[in-house]
Amino acid sequence: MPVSFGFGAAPPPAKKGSLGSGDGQLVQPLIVSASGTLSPGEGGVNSEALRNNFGVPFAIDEIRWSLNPKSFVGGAVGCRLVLGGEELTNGAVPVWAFGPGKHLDQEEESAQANVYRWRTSRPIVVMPGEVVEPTFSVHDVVTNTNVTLRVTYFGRLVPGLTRQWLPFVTCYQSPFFDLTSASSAVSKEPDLRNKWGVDLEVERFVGRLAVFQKSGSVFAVEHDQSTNSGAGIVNDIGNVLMNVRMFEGRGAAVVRTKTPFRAVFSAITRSWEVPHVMPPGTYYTVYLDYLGTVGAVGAVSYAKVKADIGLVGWRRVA
Amino acid sequence: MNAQGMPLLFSGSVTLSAGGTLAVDMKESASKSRLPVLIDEIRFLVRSPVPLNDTSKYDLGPYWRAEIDLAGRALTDGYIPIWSFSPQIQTQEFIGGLKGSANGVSTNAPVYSIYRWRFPRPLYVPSSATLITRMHRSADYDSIVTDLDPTASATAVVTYAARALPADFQVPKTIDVPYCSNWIATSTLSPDNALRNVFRTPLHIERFIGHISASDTVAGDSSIRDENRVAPHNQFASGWSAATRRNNIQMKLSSGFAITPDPTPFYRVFDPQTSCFPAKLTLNHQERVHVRLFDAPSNTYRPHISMVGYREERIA
Repeated sequence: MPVSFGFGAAPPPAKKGSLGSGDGQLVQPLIVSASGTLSPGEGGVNSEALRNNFGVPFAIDEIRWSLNPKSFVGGAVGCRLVLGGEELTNGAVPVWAFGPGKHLDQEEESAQANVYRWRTSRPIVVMPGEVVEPTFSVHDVVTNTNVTLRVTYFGRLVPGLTRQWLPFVTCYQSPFFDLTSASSAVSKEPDLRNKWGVDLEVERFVGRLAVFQKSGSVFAVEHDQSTNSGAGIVNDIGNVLMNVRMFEGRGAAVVRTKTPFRAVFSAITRSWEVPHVMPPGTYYTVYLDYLGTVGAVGAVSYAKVKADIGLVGWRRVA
Repeated sequence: MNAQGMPLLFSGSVTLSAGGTLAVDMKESASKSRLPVLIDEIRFLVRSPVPLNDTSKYDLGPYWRAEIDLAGRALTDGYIPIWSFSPQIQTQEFIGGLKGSANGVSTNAPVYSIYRWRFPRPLYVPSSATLITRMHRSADYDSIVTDLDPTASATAVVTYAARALPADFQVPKTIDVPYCSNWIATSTLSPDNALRNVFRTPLHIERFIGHISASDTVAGDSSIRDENRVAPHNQFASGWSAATRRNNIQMKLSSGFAITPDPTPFYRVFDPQTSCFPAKLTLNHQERVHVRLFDAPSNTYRPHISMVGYREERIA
C-alpha cells in the first residue's frame, strides 16, 4: 500500500493501466505466448513468438507461466528475462518469486498444471522489433520427467509509448535443507542487491517454500491442501520450523529476531508488500534457520525443502 | 541503505492455556534505534494447542482474539476474533490447514490459522510509543468441542509489518488510527454498545466483516468452522450444513437509515468468498450500527460481525 502521508517511502507505483506517455491511446489488447518442453538444465522457448513485430510499442501488464506436469511447483523452474540487452532479472528467478500469490487455489489450475502470475504495477514497454526473451532453468531435483512450460505476455499495443521504467527481480534461493536435520543458511551479497547505479523502487519481497518428495513419482508441493499428500509437514515448516532473520547490508535489522517464515512473508500472499527505496549498491542479507524436527508428522515421503526469497522492484531508465 | 522507508518487521509470541490473556512482548525485536515507523499490517499466526486428528476441522480465527492499542488510543473495541479484521483472499487450507493431517495420512498434526489486519492507511507510530497487542485464547468452545485440550498451551505469533522513518522526520499533527468493533451474537439484536463510534471524532468505516462461527462434535468429529465459507472456498465444507448462511439478517444505522432495507440472507450481505461487505460510511459520535438476526444464535449459528475503519486523531 502506498504511503498516504507523502513521506518516508517510495512514491506509489503507477496506477494499474496507467501507461505514462501515450496513456489512453489504447489501440489493441495483445497476448503473445510461447511454449517448450525442457528437461532438467537450461533451455528456452521459441522467443520469436514473443517478439514485438507489430510496429508500435507493446506494454506488457502481466506475465504468466504454466508448468506441466503439476509435479513442478514454481520453485522448480527459474526464468531469466532480458529485454534488448537489459536484464530484468538477476539470473534465473523461480517463477513463483515475481508476484504475490493472491489466489493460491488458482495456482493449481488443473490436475495437470501449476500457473503463476506476475501482474506488473507498471507496464514493461517493448519497442517495435524487441522481445522480452525468457530462458529457463529447470531444477534437477524433480527428475524422471520433463516439464512442458508456457510463458504468456498480456498487454496492449500503444502508439507513442516510451519506456521510463524497467523491472528488476532478484532472488535468494537457499540450498536444500534435509527435512530431518537442523541447519542454517545465509544469502550472499549479490542475491538481494540493487546492482544498478540508480535507486530501485522495491515493491515487495516474495517468500515461498518448496518441499520435494524423495522417491517414487518425484514431485514438489508448497502447501498441505487436501489434494496433496503433505500430511501437515509443509504447514509445520513454514509456520514453525523455518525461521528468518534479515538485515540490510550495513547491519541494520529488518527482521531482528528469528521469525517464522510465513510470518515474515505473509502466508496469505506469500509476500511482504513493502514499498521502499533501495539506493544503488545496497543489499539485504537473509539468515535461515531450519529447526529440523518434524514432530509427530514425520517426513512421510518428503526429503528436502528449499526457500526462495524474491525481491521485486523498478528502476528508472528515462 | 537510508533509513527512509526501510522495511522493519517486529514479532513476538504468547503461549496461553484456554481463557488466558497476555500482551505480546515485542521488546526483543523492536528497533533499538527507536525510529518512528509506519505499520502497514498486523499478522496473526496461531496454532492449535495439541495435534489434531484427520477428522477434526478447525478454523482458529474465532478462537484467538486480539486487543490492540497505541499509547492509550484503542484500535479495537475489546478483544476481537482475529478473523474479523480483513477480507479473506485465501482458503485456510492453502495457508494453514483446517485438518490435523491431510489426505488421510493417519498421523496427527497441529492446525494453524493465519489472519491479518491490513490497515486502510499506514499507522504512524512515534518513536516514543509502542503498539501493544494483547492476545486472548477463548474458552468459549471448550464445552463444545472435544479435542482442543484447554489445559494444553498454545502459541500465537504476532507480527507488525512496518517501515522505518528518518529520525528527523517531521511529526504530523494528526494521524489516522485504525479501529475495529465487533459483535459476537448471543441474541437476535446487537446491543447498543456494539458496532458504535465511541470517539468524539468521526469514524470512517471501510468495511464490515461477517463470519458464522459454528462448533460442534458429532460422532467424535469436532470442529470450529465458518458456515459462511463453502466450497470451493472451503474445500472441507462437504458434509457440513451450510443452511444457516441463508438465514436472514437486517442492518441499519442508529440514525434510522437502513443498510439492508429488507431481510437479506447472511451470505448475500457478506460475500462467502471474502467474508466482506465493503462499505464507505461515516459514523459520528455515539452513532452505531444495529444488526437484527431472524434466527436465534446457537453454537452452530453464531454470527461474528465487525466493522473496520479509522478515525483521525491529533498527536502533536
